[in-house]
Amino acid sequence: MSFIKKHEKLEKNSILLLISIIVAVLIGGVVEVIPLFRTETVIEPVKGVRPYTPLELAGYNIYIREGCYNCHSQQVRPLRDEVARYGHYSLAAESMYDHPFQWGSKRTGPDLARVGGKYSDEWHVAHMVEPRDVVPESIMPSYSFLLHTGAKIDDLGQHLKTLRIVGVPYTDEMIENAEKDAIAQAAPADKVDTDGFHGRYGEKVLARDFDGQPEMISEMDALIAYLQVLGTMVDFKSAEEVEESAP
Amino acid sequence: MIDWISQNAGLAGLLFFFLFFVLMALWVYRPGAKKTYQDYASIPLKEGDYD
Amino acid sequence: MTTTVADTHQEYNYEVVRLFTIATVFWGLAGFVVGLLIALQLAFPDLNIEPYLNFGRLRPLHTSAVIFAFGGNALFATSYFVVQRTCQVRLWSDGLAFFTFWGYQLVIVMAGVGYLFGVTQGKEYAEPEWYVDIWLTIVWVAYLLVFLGTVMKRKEPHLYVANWFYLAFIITVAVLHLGNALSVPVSWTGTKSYTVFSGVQSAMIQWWYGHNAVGFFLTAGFLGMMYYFVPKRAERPVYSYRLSILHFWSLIFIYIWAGPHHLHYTALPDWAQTLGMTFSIMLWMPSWGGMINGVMTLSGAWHKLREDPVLRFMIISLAFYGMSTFEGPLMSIKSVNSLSHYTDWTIGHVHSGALGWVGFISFGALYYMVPVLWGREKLYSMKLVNLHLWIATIGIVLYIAAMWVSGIMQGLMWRDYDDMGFLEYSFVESVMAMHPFYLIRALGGALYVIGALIMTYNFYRTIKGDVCEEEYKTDGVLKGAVA
Repeated sequence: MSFIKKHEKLEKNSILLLISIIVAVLIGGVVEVIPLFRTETVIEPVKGVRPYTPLELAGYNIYIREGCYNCHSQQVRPLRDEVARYGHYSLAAESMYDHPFQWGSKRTGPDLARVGGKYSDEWHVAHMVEPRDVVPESIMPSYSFLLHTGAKIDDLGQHLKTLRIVGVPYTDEMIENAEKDAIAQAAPADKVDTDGFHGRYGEKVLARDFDGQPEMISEMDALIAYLQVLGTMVDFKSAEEVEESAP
Repeated sequence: MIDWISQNAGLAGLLFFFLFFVLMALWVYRPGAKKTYQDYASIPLKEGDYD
Repeated sequence: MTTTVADTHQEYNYEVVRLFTIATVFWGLAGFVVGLLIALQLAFPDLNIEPYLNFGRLRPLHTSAVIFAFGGNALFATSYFVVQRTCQVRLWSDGLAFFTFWGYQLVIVMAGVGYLFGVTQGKEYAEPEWYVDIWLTIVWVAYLLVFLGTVMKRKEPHLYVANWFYLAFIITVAVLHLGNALSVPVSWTGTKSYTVFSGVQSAMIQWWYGHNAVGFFLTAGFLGMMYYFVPKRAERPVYSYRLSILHFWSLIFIYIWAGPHHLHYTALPDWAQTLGMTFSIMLWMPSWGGMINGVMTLSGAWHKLREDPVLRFMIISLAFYGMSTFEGPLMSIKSVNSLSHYTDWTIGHVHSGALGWVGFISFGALYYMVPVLWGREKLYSMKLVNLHLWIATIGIVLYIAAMWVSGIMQGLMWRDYDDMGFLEYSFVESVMAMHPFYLIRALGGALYVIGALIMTYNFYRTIKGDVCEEEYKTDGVLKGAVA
């Protein structure tokens, strides 16, 4: 009988109802979310995956600002046709430094997870300025303003510092030289010494004039630097070993 | 204790929540309660005379 | 349907409900029109005007406008209306209630204007940046206090089922918002922030939030609306109050788990994907429990459907609710999802639930409330309600049918192989094949907008107190059944 009285109380006592709802609602969330933070089961450390360089980060922010994730996904699924069309399926480690993740949920446009290195910088510039010049049937909006809008690189140090707070391993040296590294990455190699930059972010990093305008660092530079690195960080030989050794 | 649960989390969870569901169903459809629920259901219809 | 001249009852606070009702109609129109614009942009890319009116910046404006502005204001209006009437007591604090109104409109404006300038956190349905999130939290806490305060000083001892759903909606959206909005601003004077979580964890938390924004904002809240307005309009008690207890608890418990069906075949661990799929399939039961409870409430009152287009709105909304909550569990099965994910099929599913269920139950509730709120005896014209009904229904059917066809075609074209073993279609060929369906979809959306305009005109005349003479005989009874 006491159980019946209890539910009477529940119906009458709204606070108890509130708490019961919260309990019922939290169970699912806790069971699905908490175990994901045991990183050893989720993100196998894969060689080659590194935090974005300041210029790539600026490109990532433009990607989010323009809402590219509304039409493009960044997640190749382990399905035969996707691997054939896009390349190796996406690994969890590849987006571990994306705050937030940009896997996307709609492919009005093609998946971009492995777009790095597939098209030349010039192709990207022409495509951004007027997509239909390059792909006549494309329904993508044009982004020509990126070409003559200067990239905001003076506060990139602050961005790196914030990202370090949320867990991205930027060193103090990287934070101090954030602006200098952005300039080093986008300027033509002969004009600027890029040793310090490569020292901090590795030799494989692409450092060249992306937007065909050596005299300025535009938002196009940043966006193309970001697009060209997508899917190129992982060195798949080491990924294979990790997969074999995975439990 | 904790590793037994994590080993049999699936089973433990299933039993617990299924039992909870069956108990709730039985309790809700217990014969005695038909009347009380009838007038709970008509609360919106009997709110005063002005609507 | 006899509505005596409802004096604007001093005991209840109808002022804030009127404000929210007007905001609902206004933001509804705004959200539908932006939806139509971006649908046209997909069909005619030259309609994109860089940088402010590009699709990328307008799509969040559309989703936030229709979900949080239209849906949000509809839930505020109806929850304040229903909680007062079923507890038979005035809102707990008029001041706080008005604060929730102006505060919530500020949230909408800040977020909307921000999107056009590219101020977004880059997470779907959680795009507003950190300062809007903080302000929304304050407004939402005030909302909970007003609702809970009203409930606690109720005169009617039993808390009617509609209020459980509203309470579950308010408190769970608060939990989801707090969980998903965790981010660190780059500078306290800037707009940019970085979310605390990244990669797989960010994906899981985003869709724990994302699917439950649908589950609690667009389902539980609107089920609360249904549980009041359907019995009220049919003048019949709920079909089975006991079923509502069962399906309430199982709905809110199971819905939470369903998030991972947005992440099938991604880098999310398999155990989470399978868990999400299993619970999404189980979700079919409590969802249909709600639909059955609502539809069967008309037993003994089916004849009303012949004359009352407002009740027709509600019954069709329940039909769409049943349809989309059957389609959802189907699409959450991994093998089906491998075809539907990233395609227009998802868009078709979303809009059968949004336009059909959320839209129509809100229209039904608005058509019921407006005469009562402004103390008018009846709506200006029933024929216009019926016109809105059929135009909008045809609009929905065109929309979702076009998206089903284009979505499944997209999925099949991506995975098609020729006899040499190479991919049959390049990506852009699938984009070209979408064009005719984008046109049909835009037409469906346009019809839906036209319907909303008819509703707005009907409300305008109703609020002014006009009544369309030729529809009503002298004694106020409808002349002949409305077709």
